[in-house]
Amino acid sequence: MRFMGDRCTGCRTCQLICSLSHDGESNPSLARVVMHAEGLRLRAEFTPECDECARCAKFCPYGAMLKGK
Amino acid sequence: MMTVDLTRGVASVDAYPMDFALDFLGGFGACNRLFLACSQPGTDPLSPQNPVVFGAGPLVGTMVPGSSRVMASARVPLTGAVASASGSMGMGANMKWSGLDHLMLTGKAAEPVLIYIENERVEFLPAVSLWGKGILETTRSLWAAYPGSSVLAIGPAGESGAHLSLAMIDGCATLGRGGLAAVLGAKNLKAVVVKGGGGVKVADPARLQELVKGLYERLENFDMREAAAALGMIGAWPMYASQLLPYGSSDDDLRELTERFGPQAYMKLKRCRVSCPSCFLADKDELYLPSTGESVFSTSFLNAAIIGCALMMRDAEEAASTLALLDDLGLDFMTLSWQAAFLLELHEHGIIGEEDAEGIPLARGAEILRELAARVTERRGEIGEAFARGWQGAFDLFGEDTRRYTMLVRDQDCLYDPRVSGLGTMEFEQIVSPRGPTSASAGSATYVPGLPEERLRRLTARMGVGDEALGRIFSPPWGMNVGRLTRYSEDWFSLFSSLGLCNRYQINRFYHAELIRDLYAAVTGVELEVGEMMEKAAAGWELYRELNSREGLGEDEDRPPQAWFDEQPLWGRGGRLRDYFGNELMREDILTLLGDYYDERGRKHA
Ligand code: SF4
Ligand code: SF4
Ligand code: SF4
Repeated sequence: MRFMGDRCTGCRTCQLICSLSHDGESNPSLARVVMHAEGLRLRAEFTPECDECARCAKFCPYGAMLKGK
Repeated sequence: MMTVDLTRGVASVDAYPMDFALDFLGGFGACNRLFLACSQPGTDPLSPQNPVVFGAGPLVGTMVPGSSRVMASARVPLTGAVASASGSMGMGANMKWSGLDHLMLTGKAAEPVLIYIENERVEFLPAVSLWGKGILETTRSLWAAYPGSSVLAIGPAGESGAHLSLAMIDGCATLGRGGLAAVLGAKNLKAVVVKGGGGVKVADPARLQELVKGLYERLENFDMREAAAALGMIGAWPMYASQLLPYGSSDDDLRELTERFGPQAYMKLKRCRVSCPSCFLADKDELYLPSTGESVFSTSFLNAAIIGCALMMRDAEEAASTLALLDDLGLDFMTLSWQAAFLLELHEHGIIGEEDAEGIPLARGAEILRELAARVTERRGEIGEAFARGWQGAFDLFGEDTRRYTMLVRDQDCLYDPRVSGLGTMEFEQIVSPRGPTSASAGSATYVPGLPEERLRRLTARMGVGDEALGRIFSPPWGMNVGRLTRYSEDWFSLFSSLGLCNRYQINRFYHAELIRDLYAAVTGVELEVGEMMEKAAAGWELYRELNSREGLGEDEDRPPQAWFDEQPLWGRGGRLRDYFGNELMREDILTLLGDYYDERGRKHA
């Protein structure tokens, strides 16, 4: 998975869909993508548990998550 | 629900009555119910006894697009109304991820403090070193100390008790027109920092995902998506520009205004778009100001364009930096702009001269606003002290007869002038809203000018309005009875704010009542009929009204301002009062529409 920081608006939909689809709740702390915050800017780090299902990319409204290297 | 007693420096977390959540859906409605339970009418807004009740509805913290709202109920000093303020950015979601639906603040700390909440745990921290600091600096330093948190902060205007003060969430969402920041300042509370490390349990995750997928498909098919994604609200510039142009302007004026504050001017400043949690069509920004090299947040660039046009500022950068200054001080940019315009009107009519202005420059531009902002914040000089108390302060200083140089509804400046935009629900709402002018009724289709009656009817049906009511609304002689429609716009707002959805038109246009019912069921497991759900929303609004009737702010206050019936320009606005379709309206028409509004609400018309 690839993260394009300059497109990210900080909406956290990626984390919310990841935790909803894998764990059945809306919980950023369970997401397989960790968002490191510096003010309102976020930096994504995919955890080893990420299964590359690409739902985060599908639901990212701003095109900041992409499938592939 | 967390209750924080600032006097004693203690907090407790308890379950809040389940029937409040079930009867009023949550958020707005439940905040009103809690406020009713814990407040006494007639309480001084700036006293420790005035509670502040925050609430985040059941959809907040989920991926439902635009489920970002946090509500706050408190009695505010500007008008004495019980205001239910609506804010956004990360506070609501972080409350929910901390396991909290509500947060109630009571009492008063002995020294300036801030509270830090993480997962039902609270810390009281000294804030003496932050007192006096602007909102942006406060917010940035608290983000540095608590990465990933959401920060609600007040600025110097709230600290000094200015009735024009408001709080900001994460530096780019306002909360609490009418002096909520002064209420927090009177409690010696500089900031509330919330960081949620948990989540929101969802009753039916697969159903929720399917419903949200449907919303994303609607977004894909939205013909304005590209413009809205790139430009935010400025994407609909032609619609807004026609309302921002001073009365009697020409096409050349429009071209000039567009050059100064339109899409291209905005693009030169835009650094990146900023979004509330879950929002799929963000309208907040980080802007870059080339002449100072600063970067600032904006609630929406449209607000910069509004003050830029109202005071004929030099360019977009001047407007954006002035708006950033007001946000940093924690001042309501609308009221302060109209106070500046009021001073200019007094000067133009020979009521005050340069010598009466205490050195405030009496000319259009950014300077008058900046100077007034400093004086009001510091309550400096006669004008600063008087204007900090709002409009009544201004009339105390310059005389009651200067009221005619203002356009007030319920003692607040009129935000939406129907002589300019036609009488839609947003304009009409100002007369009947317990709190005075807000954008609560901006969710109906009259937000967009020029729609044909048939389209309006279809868009009204999506708001859970039944066939009989539709028949009453869309009927002769007006074609669309705005008094009757306003009742349903209020309920629509109550529904959105109780569940935690953003009511901005660009978001709410994607929703309809059946979809909201299904989303509510998917998240909470509570199945409702649309009619039942709308009744609960209506009950939340009625309670809001009742809370204000207790304060003596009932139907007697439901009066249109005189300026609506005068053709003369005031504050750059003017023309004849007209309905949504452009037909002229008289005072008697407004009275009839008021009667229809009460009738639709099931109330007797006094
Ligand atoms: S969904 Fe996209 S824009 Fe939103 S936080 Fe994730 S990467 Fe950023
Ligand atoms: S690719 Fe799938 S598992 Fe990985 S972060 Fe995105 S949604 Fe989660
Ligand atoms: S439209 Fe604006 S205020 Fe509403 S959720 Fe989106 S970013 Fe937040």
